[in-house]
Amino acid sequence: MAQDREMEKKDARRDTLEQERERSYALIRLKLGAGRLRLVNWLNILAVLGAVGALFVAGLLLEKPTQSALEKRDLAQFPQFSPQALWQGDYTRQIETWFADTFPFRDAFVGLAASTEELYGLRWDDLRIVAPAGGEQQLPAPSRAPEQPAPSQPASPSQPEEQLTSSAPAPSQPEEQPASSAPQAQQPPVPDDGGELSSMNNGIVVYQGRAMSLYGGSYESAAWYASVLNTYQQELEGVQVYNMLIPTAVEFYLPQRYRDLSQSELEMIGYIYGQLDPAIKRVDAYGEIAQHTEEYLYFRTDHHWTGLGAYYAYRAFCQQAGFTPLELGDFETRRLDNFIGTMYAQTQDNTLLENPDYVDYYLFGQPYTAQMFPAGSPYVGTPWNLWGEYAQGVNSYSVFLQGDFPLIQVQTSIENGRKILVVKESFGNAFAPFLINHYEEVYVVDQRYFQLGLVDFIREHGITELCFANNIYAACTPYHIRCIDGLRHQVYQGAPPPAQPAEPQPQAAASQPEAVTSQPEAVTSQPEAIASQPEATASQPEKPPVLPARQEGQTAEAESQPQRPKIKLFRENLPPPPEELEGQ
Amino acid sequence: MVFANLLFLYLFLPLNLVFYFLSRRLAWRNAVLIAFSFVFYAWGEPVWVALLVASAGFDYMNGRLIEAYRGRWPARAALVFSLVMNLGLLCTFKYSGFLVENLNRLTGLALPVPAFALPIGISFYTFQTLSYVVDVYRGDTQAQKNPAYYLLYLSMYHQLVAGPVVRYADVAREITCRPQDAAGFSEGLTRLVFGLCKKVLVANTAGSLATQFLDGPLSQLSVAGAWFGAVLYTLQIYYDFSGYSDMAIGLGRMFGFHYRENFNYPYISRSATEFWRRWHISLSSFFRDYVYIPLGGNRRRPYRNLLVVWFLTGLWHGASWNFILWGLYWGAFIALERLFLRRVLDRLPRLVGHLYLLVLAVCGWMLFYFTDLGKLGGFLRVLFGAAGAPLWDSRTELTLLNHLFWLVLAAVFCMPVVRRVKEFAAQRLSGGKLAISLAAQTALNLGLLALCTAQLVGQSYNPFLYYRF
Repeated sequence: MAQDREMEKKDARRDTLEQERERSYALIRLKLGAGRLRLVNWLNILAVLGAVGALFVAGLLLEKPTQSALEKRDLAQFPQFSPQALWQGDYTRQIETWFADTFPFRDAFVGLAASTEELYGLRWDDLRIVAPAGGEQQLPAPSRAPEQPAPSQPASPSQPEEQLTSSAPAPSQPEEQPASSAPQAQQPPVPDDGGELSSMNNGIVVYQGRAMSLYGGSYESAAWYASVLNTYQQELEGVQVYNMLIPTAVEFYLPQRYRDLSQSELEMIGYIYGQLDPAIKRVDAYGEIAQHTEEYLYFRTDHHWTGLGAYYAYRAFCQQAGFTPLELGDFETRRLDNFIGTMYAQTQDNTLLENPDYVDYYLFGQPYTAQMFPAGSPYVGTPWNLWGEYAQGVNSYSVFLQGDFPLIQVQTSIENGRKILVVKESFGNAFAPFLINHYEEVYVVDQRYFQLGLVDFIREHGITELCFANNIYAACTPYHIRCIDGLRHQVYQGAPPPAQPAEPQPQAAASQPEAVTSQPEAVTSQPEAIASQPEATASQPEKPPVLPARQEGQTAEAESQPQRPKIKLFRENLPPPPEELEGQ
Repeated sequence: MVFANLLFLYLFLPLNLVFYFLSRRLAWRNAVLIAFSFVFYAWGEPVWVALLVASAGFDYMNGRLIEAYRGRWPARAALVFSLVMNLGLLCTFKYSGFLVENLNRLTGLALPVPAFALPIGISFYTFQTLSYVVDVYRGDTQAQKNPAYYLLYLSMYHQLVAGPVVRYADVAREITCRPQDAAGFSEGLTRLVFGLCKKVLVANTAGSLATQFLDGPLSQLSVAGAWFGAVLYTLQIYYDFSGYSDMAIGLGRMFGFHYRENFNYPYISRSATEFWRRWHISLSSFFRDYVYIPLGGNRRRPYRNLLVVWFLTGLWHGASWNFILWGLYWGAFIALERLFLRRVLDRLPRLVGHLYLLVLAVCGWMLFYFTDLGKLGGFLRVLFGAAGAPLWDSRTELTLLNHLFWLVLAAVFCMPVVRRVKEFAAQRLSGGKLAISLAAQTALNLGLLALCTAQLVGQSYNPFLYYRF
């Protein structure tokens, strides 16, 4: 009996919930009366369904965009139908991504979302901390050379080769844990290198109109970076190696009280310098920069340093290399205005828009001829200008070197027998041009895109000095370290070098441009060779391909038989390294 | 498919409504609902539609058999057959891997661990179809004569994948007879928008913040950060789940169905017992009606019954020890309250009860969150200051202050604010003012829908990370 009573009690309690609900609806209906009831209900239905219907119709009728300028990526396309894709659910997932990516008025809605989030709370001490947007990232392809470097054509960091599939987080599966599935949507894929990276993904701080990535580099990666550089030092006897580690804005502009948000870059730089072979010269860019933090050394809306920041690093470099640095007054300074950079795209923080950046760059009196060797064409270059003065908008930083390219080779009128090769990521773009004031030849290699074996390249070209210029994020990012390590003895496997001049002759090329342009077939690769090398394809995303480094036999073979196609390792064919996703 | 999704809101739903309301006859409308439910269910993994249809057909037959042979052995056989099949399917898909893993660990065997993909919503619809068969057997409801109607009940996309666990008896009549009016549709629409807001504006944000604290390396976590992360997850899971139920109830009402409430402001409870009367009501009442009371309820061996029910409740939430632990944790406190704690709490100020329940819930959700028991232990040590972690850190401080207004609102709306306002309006306002307030409600709906859409579109915002430098 007691049990039944309890049941009744419980049931009565349960019923009251629904009864209460229906009573309240009934009361409203009663009070309004038939006429007003009809009016307010139809108003509600027509307004809400009208809004839904309007976007539904707009989605059907409006033209679907294929690219997003702000996000710098291709938007998802409507997927190709295949029964297998449908069966596995990929087809429908891709439709969802496509639908979200091409939603009507998408940019306006994205802006609205970002603006509302700024209203969620207080900007305490002018600080706002933003988790990095977007779950998946991709490796940028090397900048594409503008067809004709006309002033109106920015050298856009071109569309990435591998379009990662879903940009929208996968919809949560509301099984019995509806909530726990939601965060998964935002989680990046599991990094293959274990925990070393989770510490890198520290978010972004917006402080007084400046956005800064919070630093968190791992010491294991740092030690790895140093050991890779030491290997270069050992293999390149007679070549002077320099290492320049570049600090970033967060090191100097984060308020003292919040220093604990970001790991000390100074300590990390000191740690790496401590691990380096004593013969490697350490360039104290940090020290020079730290003395001038009142000046405009870093962009507020972009993650790069300014030309001025690079100038101070150049002064530090001169100390080690034994040159007297030129003064700013020796250069002609030019400016690009209205630069809103990547950090705005990351945070969408409106305070960044109030104070756009500008890019100052310096033109030197030093005459030079340069050529650029695009991806897929390591032996055939095109004449090049070290300054892309047409750069504008979000791409303004590519005024330096016109962007990221596998190799830029510069010949100057100086005759001192010194030839330097700079291995860099994009921070190096602003730094490397200064060197043409002191060297006979300057080679600028992008560690991500260069396709030849670097050690042999240095020997073949009689290069006397080698400088690694990396920002401190890159120096602790396994992807970059793997790139630098892989450069040493990678074997280019596309078209062989032109038979006649076994190695590029910049002088000749620059003076005879028609010889350069007449070899389109050199650019095309040999797909059957790719297929025969499973490790070179992206079929094993977990494991980056084993670079054929240290295979002495192969290297020797490459030297003796330069005509034979070798293992191809297009940098852009590497699967996107997952740890990169978190790394800066 | 899920509700909080652009494709659902701006393609599936409009099409569903158009086809539904263009159909004049109820039979056609039901056919439209079944068809759209199939598309909805098949969206992720089409293969499981077959299982759903087979399940519906199977229990339709069992229902008919039980009714035809009421009181005789075939009825009993059909019931047992249904129980074995349904629970067997659930075990196969959901628990076989877990069972074999533990068996291997226990015996040192190396049996191959089966890895079935979990059909979406199987935990929900298995319980629904079970409750139908048992209800028919008990004579609490009549068997459905039309297999299509039974299929409609089981496959209705409103509640198919994430509840509530709707009982057949609650909607049996409405399958064949449901008057539809503008008022009901409008009420449902408003409820849908509210549920969407809970999910999109609160749960998703809370989730992305919570992972920053819960998923990072424990060595970087402060005590305050651990509590902050735990509270965020507590908010997330309530808003996520109750928002989903709100959307289901709202959708049902738009199509003329009246589903029962599934949440009743659980975080305002003052005891574990009360919490579970307010949290996921359709599930806890299922266990009460089909497990606890049949086992003897409060009369015969109540503590054993509690143990069984809470073990099963935990297990239902997932095939992992932490869920079982989580179920037993709640069961233990409910047992303690039954023994003496309830009486103690009743004598103390109300505030003590509220605090007790909130701490209980927050800690409980951490058991729920960490499927890795090792990580759970590490986290709990930080949470209770046993790991030597700093008390406070700037990241927690900034995240908290940057989301202060949002947090306050999220906390406030855990309390029955909306209900009180609605009651006040319905009871105190005159007809004219009530009409104005409902018009204002429409404006609010539009604004909230815009914000939700913006957030959903914003999720697709994926700026190309130029961080390779």
